Amino acid sequence: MADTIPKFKLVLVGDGGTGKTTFVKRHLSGEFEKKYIATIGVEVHPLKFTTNKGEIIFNTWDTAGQEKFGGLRDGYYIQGQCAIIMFDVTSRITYKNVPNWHRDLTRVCENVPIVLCGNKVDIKERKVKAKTITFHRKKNLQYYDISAKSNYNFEKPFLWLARKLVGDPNLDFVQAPALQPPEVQIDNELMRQYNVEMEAAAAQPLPEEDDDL
Amino acid sequence: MEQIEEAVRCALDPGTNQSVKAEATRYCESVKASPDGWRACLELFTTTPEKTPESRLFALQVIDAMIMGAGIRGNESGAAAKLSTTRAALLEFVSTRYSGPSYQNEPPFIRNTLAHTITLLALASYPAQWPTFVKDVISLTGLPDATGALTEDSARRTNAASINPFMVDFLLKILGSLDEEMVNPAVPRGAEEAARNTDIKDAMRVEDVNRMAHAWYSILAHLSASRPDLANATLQLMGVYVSWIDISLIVNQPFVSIIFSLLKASALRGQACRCLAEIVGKGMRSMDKLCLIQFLDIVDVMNQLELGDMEFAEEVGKLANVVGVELKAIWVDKESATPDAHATAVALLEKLMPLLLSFLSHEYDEVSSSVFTAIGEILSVFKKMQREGAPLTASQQGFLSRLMPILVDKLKYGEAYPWPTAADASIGDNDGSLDEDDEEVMFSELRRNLRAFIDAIAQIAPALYDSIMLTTAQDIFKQCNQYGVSAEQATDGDDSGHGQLGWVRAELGLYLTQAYGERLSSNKGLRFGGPKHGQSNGAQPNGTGTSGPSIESLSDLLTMMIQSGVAACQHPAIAPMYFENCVRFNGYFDARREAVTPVLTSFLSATGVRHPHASVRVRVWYFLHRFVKNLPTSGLAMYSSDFISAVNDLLLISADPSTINSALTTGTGYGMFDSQLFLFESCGIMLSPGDLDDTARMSLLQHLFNPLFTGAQRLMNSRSSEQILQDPRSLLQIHHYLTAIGSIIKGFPDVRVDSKTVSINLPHQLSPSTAQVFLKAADMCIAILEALRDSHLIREAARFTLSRMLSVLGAEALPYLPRLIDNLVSSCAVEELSDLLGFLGLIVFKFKPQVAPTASKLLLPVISKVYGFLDQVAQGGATGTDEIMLLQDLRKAYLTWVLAIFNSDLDGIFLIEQNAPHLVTIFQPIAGQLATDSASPPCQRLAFTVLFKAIQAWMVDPMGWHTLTTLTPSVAAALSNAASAKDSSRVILRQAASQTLGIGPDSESAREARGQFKQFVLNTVVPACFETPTRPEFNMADAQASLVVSEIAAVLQMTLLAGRPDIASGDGSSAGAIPLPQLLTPPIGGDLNQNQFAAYLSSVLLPRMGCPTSMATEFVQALASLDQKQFKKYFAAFLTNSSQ
Repeated sequence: MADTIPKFKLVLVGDGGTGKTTFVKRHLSGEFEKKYIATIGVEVHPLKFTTNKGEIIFNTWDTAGQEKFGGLRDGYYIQGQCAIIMFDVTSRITYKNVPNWHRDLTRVCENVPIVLCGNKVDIKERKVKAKTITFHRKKNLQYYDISAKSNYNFEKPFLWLARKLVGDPNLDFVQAPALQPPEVQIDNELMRQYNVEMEAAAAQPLPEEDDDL
Repeated sequence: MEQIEEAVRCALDPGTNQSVKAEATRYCESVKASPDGWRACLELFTTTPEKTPESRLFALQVIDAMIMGAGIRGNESGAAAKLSTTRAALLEFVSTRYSGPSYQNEPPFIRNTLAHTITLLALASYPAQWPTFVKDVISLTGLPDATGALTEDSARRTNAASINPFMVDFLLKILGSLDEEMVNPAVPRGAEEAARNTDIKDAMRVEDVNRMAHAWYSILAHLSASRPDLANATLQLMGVYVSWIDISLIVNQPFVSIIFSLLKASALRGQACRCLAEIVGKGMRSMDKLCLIQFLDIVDVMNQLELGDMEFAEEVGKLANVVGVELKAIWVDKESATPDAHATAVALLEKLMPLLLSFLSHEYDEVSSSVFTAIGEILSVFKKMQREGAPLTASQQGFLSRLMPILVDKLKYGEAYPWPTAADASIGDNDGSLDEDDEEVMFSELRRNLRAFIDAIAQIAPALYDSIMLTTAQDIFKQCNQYGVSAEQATDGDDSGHGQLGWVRAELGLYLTQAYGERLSSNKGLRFGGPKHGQSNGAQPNGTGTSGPSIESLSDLLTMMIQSGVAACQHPAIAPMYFENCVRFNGYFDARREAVTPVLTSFLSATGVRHPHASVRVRVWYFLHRFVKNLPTSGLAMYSSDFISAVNDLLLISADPSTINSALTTGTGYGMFDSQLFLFESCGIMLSPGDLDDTARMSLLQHLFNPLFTGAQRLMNSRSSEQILQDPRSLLQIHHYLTAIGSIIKGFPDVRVDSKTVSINLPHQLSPSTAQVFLKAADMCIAILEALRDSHLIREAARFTLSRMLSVLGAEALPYLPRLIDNLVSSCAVEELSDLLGFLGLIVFKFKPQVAPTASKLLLPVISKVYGFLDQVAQGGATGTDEIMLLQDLRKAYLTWVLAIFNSDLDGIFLIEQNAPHLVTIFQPIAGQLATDSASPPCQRLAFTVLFKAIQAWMVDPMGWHTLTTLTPSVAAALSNAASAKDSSRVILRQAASQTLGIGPDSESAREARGQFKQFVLNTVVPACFETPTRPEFNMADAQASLVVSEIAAVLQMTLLAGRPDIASGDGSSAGAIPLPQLLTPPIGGDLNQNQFAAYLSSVLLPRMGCPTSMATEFVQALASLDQKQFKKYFAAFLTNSSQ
């Protein structure tokens, strides 16, 4: 039976440090890696999902984002059937480089479904705002905000790709993939209240910035 | 070659063992790096029999690397020869191997990559080294190599049979790649590269783009029928090239007629449309653009198209949209377009308008939204005309009156909209991901756009807006009232308006009501029950006398909505919108008290808090909470008892263990429990009215609290703390009990804390028996925290609930604070500590002197916890983004808390006997690390603000005559009066705080600590003031850094004030007589010859930093004589000069 499970080669690309490895490892038994260890060349992870149409495996090629560990770069894309391009919403340059990744990728993988993912949306200091993310519209990609750290939208890119690859818009994941528990949770009742009250009461403009003074 | 081939195979094969793979990868890298690697690779790529595709791709990568290394213009030494060799070999390869069917056997990625490599070659060597690039690649194809004007003959002369479609395909790939590398605006490029590209484009414009146009024309003329794929790619290519080539190469009779003819070819019409849209949208001067549009006669062409196919209709819609946008641009271009041109553009636009409206009213939203931009721009011109008092023409008004009903009609839900089933409890995401498969997101986006247009019409033609909005909504509610509403049928029973209403129009009525009210409130604010109609606020636009939107109309509409019975409709679209209207326009219920009962009844009915759809149900809970929170408490008592019994069974708490791990950043933390909290708080609100009989209140309160108390106690008693800590489910359940208690209490109003006095005997709003129940809850909460403080969940719950107690009970709950904080501090994690510091800041700010003794005891433990975390991470070494952010938050929270202590006039807590000896230790890292770390300007700024306050508190005004609160002019004036009338009975807060702490300002420990602090300021703080902003990593141009400079300037001025002889040598009693130190008005510092600090600065510190004496003297003069703003400017200039 195992041989009949459809398998798809998924190529995961994007600048170094955008969280590609962390993202694939959320699906595995590994720990969330707090420290950044650059990928060398490529690592392949078979990620299995259970859908209402049966099981599906994404052989995910986690490629090195950094030039110095580039290895064979475009060679890894050969026979890719779908792709995820990742950037980091807290780093503008990683978004700026998305067109380069897209161009290199589509040269080797023509007409494959591609998802663009903005990672690290759990971090408050977001630099790449939602409305500036427009690249996907011009190129007919799908876009998702994700947070590898909190599992936010983890399965969305895979679901979208699975629907495109299988050609069935009604395909759904029937059980949540076994994810690592999220590392961050937002507890902000207090902060909100504090902010409202403190801002109202105390955070008046400093005298020297106040033009009325 | 075999070695390379093998190495590539090993490196790419995921099955290869790690060390072999690493070895193979290294080998490949070494080939790439070696000076002659490219030669071997050129050989490998072109040789026969062919090597593996993988190794040939690698070979091209190596060649690419060589080309990149040849310099941006291919002029590194020796590059020309290498490039020329490569060029010859690759062109030879193409002409022999790609000219026949073998082209099809080549893997597509090799073809693409080779086209890219040839493009890179061209970029490095065209035009100087390879002037014939375009000519060469076109001549491979058999297409005409022609220049000059295009005529129909020029294509006819070409023999179609001589065209090689394989080569055409490859040519199109090269030209596509050229666009991506050289023009495509999405791709980031350096300045040098951009300059080179401009040169290349200029060279191509001489003749080569003309060549390309001839080639494109031939492809369209000869291959459209046999190879639509190639024609398609050509049209696409033309679309991207029009941005930079002479438009007349394409916009000429032969080309245009062929493009128009393709609009009728089903395989090509979409792409032909897109190509036309690019042509029309090309950046040009207005007059030229108008000629272009006239030449194309595009409006008529579009009118003749057959638009039955939805996808094609969308493409034509997009084209019409571009035409509309361009015509509008000519219309408003007052600089370069002539009045005649304006008139022509307006006439064309009016001709276009019916077409735009027909697209807009298309049943498919994709088609409809394709013309949004044009509609929006036309409306924006009308808006501008209206602002400038220019009347709309009759035809423009006609356009609006046809547009408005279309917009309102498009607001309706589609009949096929996929509503969740009753069991679904999906919660919509609200992030940057616009899921095109997600109808909910797409529909709300559509409505948002339509609303913007409708609001624009409201401004341009208020009477039209008013009449269509109101009649549509009123008719719907009347129909509902008369014939009822169906949850099953989407459409109405009949089209006459005399039949059962379908849910689609029912929802539209609710939506229009909301839109009408929102528009009104954003304009004028909502004041229900104001003066009656006729004498209402006379802000009629333009004094046209036409009636516009009014609060009375909204009020009447809401009455009709409530009386219509629409709330009884079970369809999931209805309840959220209905109740949201009740919440949003809550002012209505102040004026119409009689409407509260029916609405509250709907809330508590089977289509309200018990709605069959789970997702709607929890949404209604939220609205219920908002609704009762906004009602005046005076009228609530009559509902209290019924309310509690109606929601009672919804309050059952059952922790959902799956939420422990899946609580996401969207705040959906604990699943349904989060929504139950709204019900708990609503119950609290319903029990809070003062006029509710206290016995009734106690009985209802017991009814609510008992299950929570006993539930928590039963769990606590069932096992040992250690066992409970091992059981996430029990912890979560206890967490929920505690949080529910906190939420009920949250429904009660906050106690008024008069922080201006030390008296705690304020009249209580709570009845004594209620307070007793709350205190009992606080006891339990603390006891549970003490037993289970190792659990993050329990800490979170205890902090939430006890902070609510502090708000509601006020000082009565303060005795719990030390126990709460002790437990939280001892076991919290970094991220909790930041929140906790925020909480402490709030408490300090709220209670001021009352909390001083507690705060003084907590000071050292909290500070050591903060530095414990900071040091621990500092020793841990390199960290990821997340940890850096966490620590940044912690630093900020810490400084904000210290600042809150000063702003609450509690500086005395640093000076009590236990804390005073540590004063300098506490401030050392603030001045030495936090203030100097330019990685975070906001932290730096906070650090200097803290130092500013500390200097004021302990060096300028140690007796505490002046408040340390950040001043506004009005507060300052009030305080100034208070301070000057020292004999008034007003208690001065800082002195009050010291009294509660039992320390006098002249106590031994305080005096000693202040002495040490003064030394610290001179030795550490003042040097930091100069060193921090002159460090290389400090970016003066940055706006946040500029705020840091302001803060530093203030610190220096405050220090100068501290050096004044009467202050420095005095006991501080004179401070009451000096001007308020926070409003430093020059001259500062008194007699500078006597000022210790001035002397230190001009003769010790500044000279030591290499500043000439004259400059140092001038600096001190400026410091003393300029006001804050002037001195900040001076200081910034001083820093800039000295760092040069």
